[in-house]
Amino acid sequence: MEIRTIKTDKALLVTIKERLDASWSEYFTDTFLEYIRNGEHRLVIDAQEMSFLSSAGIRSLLLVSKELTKVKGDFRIINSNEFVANTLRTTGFGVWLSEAKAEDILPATKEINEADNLKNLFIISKDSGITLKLISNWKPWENISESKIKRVEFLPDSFALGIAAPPAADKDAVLKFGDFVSLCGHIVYQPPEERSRPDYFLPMENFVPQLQTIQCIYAQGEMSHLLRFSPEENKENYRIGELASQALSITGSSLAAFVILAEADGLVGAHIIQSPEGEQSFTPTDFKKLRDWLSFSGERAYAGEQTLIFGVVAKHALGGKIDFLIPLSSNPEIAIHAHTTIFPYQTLQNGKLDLMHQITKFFNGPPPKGLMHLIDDNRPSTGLGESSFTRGAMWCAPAKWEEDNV
Amino acid sequence: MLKIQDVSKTFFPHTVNEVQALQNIDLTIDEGSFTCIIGTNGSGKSTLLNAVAGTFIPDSGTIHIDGLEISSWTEYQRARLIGRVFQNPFAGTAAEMTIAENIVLAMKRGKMHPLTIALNKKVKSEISDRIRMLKMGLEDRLDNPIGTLSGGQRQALTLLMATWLRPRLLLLDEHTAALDPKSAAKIAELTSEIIKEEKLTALMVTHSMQQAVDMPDRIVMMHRGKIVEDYQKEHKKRVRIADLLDTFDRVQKRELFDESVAKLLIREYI
Repeated sequence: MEIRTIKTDKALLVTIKERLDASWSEYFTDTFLEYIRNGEHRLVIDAQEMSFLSSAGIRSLLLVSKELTKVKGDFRIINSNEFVANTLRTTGFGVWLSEAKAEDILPATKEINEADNLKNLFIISKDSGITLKLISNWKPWENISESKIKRVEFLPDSFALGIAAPPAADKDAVLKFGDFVSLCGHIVYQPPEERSRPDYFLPMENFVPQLQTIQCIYAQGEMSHLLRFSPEENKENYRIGELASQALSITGSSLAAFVILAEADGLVGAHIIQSPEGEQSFTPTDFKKLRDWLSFSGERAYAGEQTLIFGVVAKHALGGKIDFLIPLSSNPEIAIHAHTTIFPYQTLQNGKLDLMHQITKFFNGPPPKGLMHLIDDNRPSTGLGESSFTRGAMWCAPAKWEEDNV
Repeated sequence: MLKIQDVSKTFFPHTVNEVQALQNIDLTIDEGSFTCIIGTNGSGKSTLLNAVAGTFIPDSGTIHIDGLEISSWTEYQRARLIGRVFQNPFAGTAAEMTIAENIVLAMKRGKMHPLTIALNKKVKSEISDRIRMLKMGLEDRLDNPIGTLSGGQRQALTLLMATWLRPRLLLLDEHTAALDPKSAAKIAELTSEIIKEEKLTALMVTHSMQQAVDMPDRIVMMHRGKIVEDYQKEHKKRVRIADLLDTFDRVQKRELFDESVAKLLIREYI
């Protein structure tokens, strides 16, 4: 089999030469799924030179078609020879056949501006904004007194990050505090054990997820903007600091909240692996002790997976509650606090996306694979740098701190 | 059944080549359990097996089998209690001797006067019956020199010989690693079958994550001479290859956690 592609402003035209049969179907499917992953959601197959199509080949076409349906894409087969057209019609897939000619799709290759096509800014609601509250403000590794623990309900219009424990069934049970992130009332919590997988809680009917927090930045409100980003010529990925700076400039604010749903290029972060305890104070002077408490990613992790991040960014000059926002080493003008959860890859639709719909979709799919507090690793020579992303979406809004909140 | 207490071994001590192969190993294996040891190269897996088998005497610590302290026993003395299968399929058999002659040696292993059994009809019939379970057609080739068999067939016979007298402990040291994938799968299947049927206590070293997940009822992971993970009971039952790879990953990440990472995290996280 030979596959040739021509990108036009209307679609990706793919010419298939020779057989699409059991021997080639897997390769064909993988190739087309990669096109979809790269944002090509309008696919046209030129089948003039396809010499054979078996049931295995039809199954591949069906898989591609289904994947495109998920992202509201489009799939057509043009120029099919008699054998291919008959096979598709008699098996009930004639609907894929189109009378269009390759020439109808071909021109305008030179006029495409891919960056303009894929990198888009959408205004969701110009006047929207986010109110931030610092609900609990424990700092590692202070003692945890009763007064430090705040029970928080995560409402559908809220976003949050911090360190918390799920409410225990028994009031005397020891609370296991670990990192968490909450998006539109959906929570991912990383139990503080090295072996544990992240746990998650979904809002359902009258159930509103809750956590006992010791550190919690809680945001409530609506996102005002959506930025779509994807690889461009000479730009293969987007660093978290770049995107956070964009959030400030898009919203024209010195404090902004953002949610990023994106394919990871590599994530750098840490999470708690030993729950801090009430009366036990800990001073992290010895790195051998510190590694019993924190797990560091150690490499750029989770490449190719889908990350869902909530973060807060401020111009560093703000002061005050900036304590919980950490100046970015690579850009000390801004300070960030961001937690991410990681899901298995799912293709995102191009264009405007609804935040709640996307979050619900991911939380109702395969379970999260990890959770991290993102870190900018600027160690000389060995540093892993910032987390970065290949393509995705960032929702953002101007934010303000609610007074009297601690 | 097997109790390893605080066992340490350092090779080439006080030299630039010093290797702390075993560091204060504590491991207790229950009667009838099948434990698999996995780990990176040089983690101490085979060294631990060799310490149990008596290939060397540890610098410190004790080893008990069935309550008997065997720490100072020689390798051949321990052979009364221990059956072994090595990675090299040619290591456990005598190539010039026939299948039947090799088996007769195995039948008398660890006993006085090992050469008293004659290969009479009754013995041959018993050998033939036991070899039939291998389902390799070897029962009809008892008089063929064992050197004429393939690696897989020889390893199957070595396994049978090592378990002929139902040893108190069976040690398997990457015994499928030198075989082609089909033979390796066959030997792995046979191993599980024999251990289950004979209710043997076994300790197996492997690099195959699939075998580690599928075969034993306990997985011990070693790294740099230490036990870093021990999956037992329900934890073992739920473990998947991905979990083992994650654990390897975690162990290695932990090694990368140095002072520079600590400083980074104190600034960025704390």
